[in-house]
Amino acid sequence: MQLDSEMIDEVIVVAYGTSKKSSFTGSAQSIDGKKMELRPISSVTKGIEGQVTGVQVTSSSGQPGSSPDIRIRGFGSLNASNSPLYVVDGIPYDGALNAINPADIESMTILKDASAGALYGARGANGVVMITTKKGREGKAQVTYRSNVGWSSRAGHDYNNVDMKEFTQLLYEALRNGYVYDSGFTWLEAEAAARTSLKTKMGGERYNPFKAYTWDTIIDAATGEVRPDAVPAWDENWMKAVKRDNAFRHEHQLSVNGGSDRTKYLLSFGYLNEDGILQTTNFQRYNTRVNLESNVTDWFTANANVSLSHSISDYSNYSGTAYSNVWYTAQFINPMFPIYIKNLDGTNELDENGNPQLDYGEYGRPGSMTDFSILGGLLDDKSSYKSDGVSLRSGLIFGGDSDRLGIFKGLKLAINFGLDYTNTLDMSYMNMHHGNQAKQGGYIWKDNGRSQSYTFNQLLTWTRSFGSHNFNVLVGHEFYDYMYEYLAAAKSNLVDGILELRPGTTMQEADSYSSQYRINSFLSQFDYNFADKYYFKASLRQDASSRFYKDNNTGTFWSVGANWRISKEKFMQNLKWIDNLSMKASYGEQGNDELGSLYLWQSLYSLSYPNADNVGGVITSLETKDLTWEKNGNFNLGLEASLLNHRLSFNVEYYYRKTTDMLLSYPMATSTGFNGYNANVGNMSNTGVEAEMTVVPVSTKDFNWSVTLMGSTVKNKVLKLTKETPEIISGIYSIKEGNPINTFYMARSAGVDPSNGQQLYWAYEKDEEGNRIEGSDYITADRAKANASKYYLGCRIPDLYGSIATNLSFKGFDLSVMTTYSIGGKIYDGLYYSSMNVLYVNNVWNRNALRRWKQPGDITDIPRIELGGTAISNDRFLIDASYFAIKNITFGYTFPSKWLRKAGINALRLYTSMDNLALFTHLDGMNPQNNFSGSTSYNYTPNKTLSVGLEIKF
Amino acid sequence: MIKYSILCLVALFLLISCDGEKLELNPTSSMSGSSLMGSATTALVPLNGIYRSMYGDNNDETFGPMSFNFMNDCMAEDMVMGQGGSGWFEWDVLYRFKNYFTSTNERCYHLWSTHYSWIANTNYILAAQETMQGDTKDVNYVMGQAYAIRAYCYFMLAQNFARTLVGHENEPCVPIYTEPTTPETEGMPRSSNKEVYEQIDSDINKAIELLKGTTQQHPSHISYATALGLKARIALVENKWQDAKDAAHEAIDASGKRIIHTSDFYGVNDVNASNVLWGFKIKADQATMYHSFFVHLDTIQSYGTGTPKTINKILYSKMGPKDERRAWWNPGSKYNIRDDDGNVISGYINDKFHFANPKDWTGDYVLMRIEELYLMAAEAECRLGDEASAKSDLMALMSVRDPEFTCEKTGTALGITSNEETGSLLEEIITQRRIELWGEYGRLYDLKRLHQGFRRTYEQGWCVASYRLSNRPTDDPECYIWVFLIPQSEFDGNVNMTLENDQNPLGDY
Repeated sequence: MQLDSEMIDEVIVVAYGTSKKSSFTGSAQSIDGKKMELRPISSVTKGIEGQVTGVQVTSSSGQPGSSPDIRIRGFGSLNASNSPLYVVDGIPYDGALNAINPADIESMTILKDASAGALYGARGANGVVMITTKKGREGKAQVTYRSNVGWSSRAGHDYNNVDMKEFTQLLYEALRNGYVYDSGFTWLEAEAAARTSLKTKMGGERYNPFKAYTWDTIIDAATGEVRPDAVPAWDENWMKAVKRDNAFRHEHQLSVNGGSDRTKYLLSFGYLNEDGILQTTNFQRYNTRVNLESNVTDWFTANANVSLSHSISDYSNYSGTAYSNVWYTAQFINPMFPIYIKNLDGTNELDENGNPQLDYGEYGRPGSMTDFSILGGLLDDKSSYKSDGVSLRSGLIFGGDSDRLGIFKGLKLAINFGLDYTNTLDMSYMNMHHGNQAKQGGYIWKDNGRSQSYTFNQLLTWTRSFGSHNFNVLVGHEFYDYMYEYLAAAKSNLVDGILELRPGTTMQEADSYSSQYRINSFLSQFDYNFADKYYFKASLRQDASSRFYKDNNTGTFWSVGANWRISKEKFMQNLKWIDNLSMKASYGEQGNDELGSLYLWQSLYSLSYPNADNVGGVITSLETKDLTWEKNGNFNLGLEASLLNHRLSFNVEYYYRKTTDMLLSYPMATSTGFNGYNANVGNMSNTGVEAEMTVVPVSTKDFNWSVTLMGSTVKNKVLKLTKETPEIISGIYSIKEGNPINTFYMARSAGVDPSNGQQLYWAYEKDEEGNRIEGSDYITADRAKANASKYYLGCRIPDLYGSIATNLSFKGFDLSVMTTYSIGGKIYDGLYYSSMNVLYVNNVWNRNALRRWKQPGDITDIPRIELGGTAISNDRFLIDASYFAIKNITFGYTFPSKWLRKAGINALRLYTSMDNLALFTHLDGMNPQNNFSGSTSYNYTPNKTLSVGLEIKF
Repeated sequence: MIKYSILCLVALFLLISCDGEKLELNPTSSMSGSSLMGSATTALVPLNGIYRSMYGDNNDETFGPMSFNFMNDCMAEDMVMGQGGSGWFEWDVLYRFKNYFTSTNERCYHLWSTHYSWIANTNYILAAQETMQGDTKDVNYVMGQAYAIRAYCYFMLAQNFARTLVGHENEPCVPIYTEPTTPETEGMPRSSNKEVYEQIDSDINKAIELLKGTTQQHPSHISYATALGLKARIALVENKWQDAKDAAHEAIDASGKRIIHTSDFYGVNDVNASNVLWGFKIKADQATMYHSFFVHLDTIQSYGTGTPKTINKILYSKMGPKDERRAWWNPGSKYNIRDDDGNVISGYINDKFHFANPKDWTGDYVLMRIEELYLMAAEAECRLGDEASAKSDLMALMSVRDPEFTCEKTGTALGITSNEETGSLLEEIITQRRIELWGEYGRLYDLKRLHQGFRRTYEQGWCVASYRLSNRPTDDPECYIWVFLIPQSEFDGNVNMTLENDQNPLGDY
């Protein structure tokens, strides 16, 4: 294998500079842009999963263009932000993540500890994702064109729901059980009553798909079962009706790159058009980037990097259990409900043109969905989001390393200016023909958001070597300013087909506001190494944030780190099989000020309360002048090695992160008019081990094979909350001193009572302080007792997670496979709960409900079927979160260059890629990466994409 | 070299010039309280803010006093829900809200937190009483309303989070705060019913004193007459009949309002109608759409039809054939629930409340109208034994409603449940109250203060079997089924209250 020099001693981009990976004192991992450019990913953060240790990633929504969330080394805060800081080309980035063209990325570096990130002290407490874009290269102009097309469908499985006959059976049993256990009927009376009431429950015979039987005869009275020979006259899956099969995606990239020894340039253009797997959803993006760098003299360099982006996103603007949210309605609808209006004989009722007509429920479809069709609603309502972004990174560097500069040699002053500007226009329209806004003649909402932020810094660096002593010193100042302006309006009673406010007659909303945020910082760093053997780094930074009161707005953050390259020691020189061995340790403190509001400390009256024609305001926050930065102490210990001529390399790190002065809403009695005020209270820790190993079993001229394994652990612990509240319970979650954040806290199932099919629970006695008395547990059917006897039942955080990847190349062929795994942790699947405890006739049961208790004496784990039952959250719906996913397989062929030269082509490569290919979980349908707290929601499901592409260089 | 040094100097200058940048920023969507409380003119801003948040929405079932009154209608026997639909207000009908006291998006929490938030807002205004600049009348106008709002809030809290005052004077009620909240404010323990009503009396009396001689500037503002009306409501709960009678009469005189025919306030959606003392004007751009009163009742809107709100048919039958209020319900509506033979098995659907304009979701919220004052006066007089005055006040209303109405009844006897009729004069006054104020006053508040239980029956229109609550003690006025639980969030932040000792009973007793 021809290991390129970069890989032997990889240079990585770190805070305010670059470093060699082997000698870096902190924890940083780099992702080569090449690993992303061939994958069909529309947002850069999708490329991070599986590529670095210590980083947890959600799956992100299936809406084209959406970005997953990222957590680096656990969870740093309860109420303040847990998201990393994004830095693009050295300057904190405020634009949209999906505005960056992944093809423009040279590399990404994840800074995980204080030594790496403390120079971004202000906002680096949750780690830093540094994105470096491509630059021009010296030499003849090179043109690269890349194009790929792909087809997407749902990743993973659908929930396994019952079919029409099974549904009829379960509905009948639910009604029968209601009569027996709620109304006190005898079993026989209840069976008869249930058979008769099917008709009203199901909206009459028009909604009876079994045309050979009527509702009151569909259940055989002798067996209590649906007639085996009943055949449905239709089967119209709502999800199928709204989905788009093989949603098309295509992407085209063109870049030109070149320059002289003085001036280098890069131009890049990109276009992406991606259809979602849900009809009507789409994402389109146009990108341009110009990157210019000129060495004017040996002591003056100027650079500018400008990127423009424009994107349009068509989406469905509904979430949760709104029935216009297809991910709720279509996924979990009663399977008997047709899409199209049926005649009494079960055939489609046609309109005058002979077309089937959408069923809006006008013939008495049961349930709560009035004047609603899933397909009609999706097609008639419209939402789109336009975003225009400009990012500028520019700098002037005075000074250089030339001997001519005398005592100024090695002294440089860099003045950098970075600007991110995003302008968004959001539109959402609810139609005038059906549904909630029909009476109002339709409703349209538009809002415009303008965000502009800039960072202006001046950095003075001094780099000199004296013999074996190497110095690199930095001092600087940085100023950050963020401004957001918002304008929104809405009207109703519109003109059909015009998606504008102008014709609307009735004003529904008109609003605007602006907000601002600033940070002023001084920073310094001292780097020293002796003979490339002993490395030492220290940094100090002071930030003042406008979020805090002026006397308490300053935070001081620092770090120290050292790296010992053991392999450079004399006693190691005989060990030829060791290419590199280094050990590193660091400690430092970083900060976090991101707790919701930009005006954290102030007591404010919100002015969004006008009373008819009178200005009105309501107090929304209490004054807290003492409030200041949340601090994050971060200890890191690492060992890195490369052995056997780079055939085996590994990197192991241990970390301990402790958050103190945690920004938290300090609980107050609700009766004071406030639930809390912002305060610095509480401590939390995250600790873990991260390991990465690469093996190269085969490395010959024609055949190369490498395997990379990654594994990470994270243990989170809440160390201290408040005196008044050592535990915060919210729903099924508990945050308690001594436990991990968001520990599941709910009733425990104790099986099913064979005599009546009731859900049984564990309960226990409590001591005077309200704590569980060990061993006092007993089984009860009493929900009140179960509700008062909740248990701590683990959390979402896995025991071990990581990736396994392999790369094979044989002559021109290459194959890479990337898989990810996660072991341990739990998920409370609320979607599954709802399809096991159906509330309304609208909804469907999961097939697991077929294991239900049917009659006295049955022994099973699923209680009797009820409609609108009274089950409480319990551990039957806590599912093992472990999963294994095949994230990507890419297969490519690079044509031999001698064939191409004649055609004037430098390189040609064809490839095919399968992204998000397969997912193996403990429950079909459940998305194990929905979020970090381990719940599920009615969200746009993730996609898998098959794509083919070509790359050509000339 | 010189060029280089100059450039360096320029750059260093740039570096230094940035230092003085301002880090003290203020938002544009909010402003600080201290500047608002300076004068009686600007103090109207926080006052109007409270009123606005009284018709702003928290969720589908929480939109201030209108939703809490409607909830107390849904919990009793006269507001018959024909079927469940999407389930809005169904947990009130079914008394399921106690199960969700830990949630911050459910009934117990909203009922508690909204009232305490209004109280906190009034406490900031009241704390500025001594320092506020402006004409005495203008300051009194602000302070009087703040006292009245505080009285109103404690009155609503007391009625929902404790059993009724009379007979339970020493039972725990709710915590009292009269000082502005700061981060140092500690949660207070529950005061007794007696203490809370003393605070309510003191506040409403101060309000009346301060508001006397001021002019109502907006229908949403609590005027002198409105404050008297509130006092009459409070006095009825306290069984202070003379106070109730005096306050109601004084309110009638001071209000300048008059009883009008139902056709003159069609839809009960106009605060400018001649009979309205207090109400919220709903403008199109301030309307809360689905999270609003009329959505749940109006038969033009789909939700009011799919989940019909109907009147107890027994109550409906009490109206004389010429009673103009018969038009408030529609026995012939296709939205009534019927059996297979076409007979209406639910109650009769609402035709009383309508959007003013369903196209823009507008329709004002009426919180007090003069008809109620006459009914309160009549009730108090009946209790005082002055049946002649009681009948005269009752007839003042009934002569407008029903030309054939006469009343020869006497006495104050009431059944243990509302189903057991006694034929007394007091019962007649209450019956007319039930009809006149259906859907706008919270029937359950009356049942509680009257120490009456109820039974929902099929004959009344309760066709959904589970809504009849046949195995729950709604017939026992002493039970706790309707005493709300204090939300979990209170215990999470209150050092002076524990779940074990200070929570209301989780069950029906």
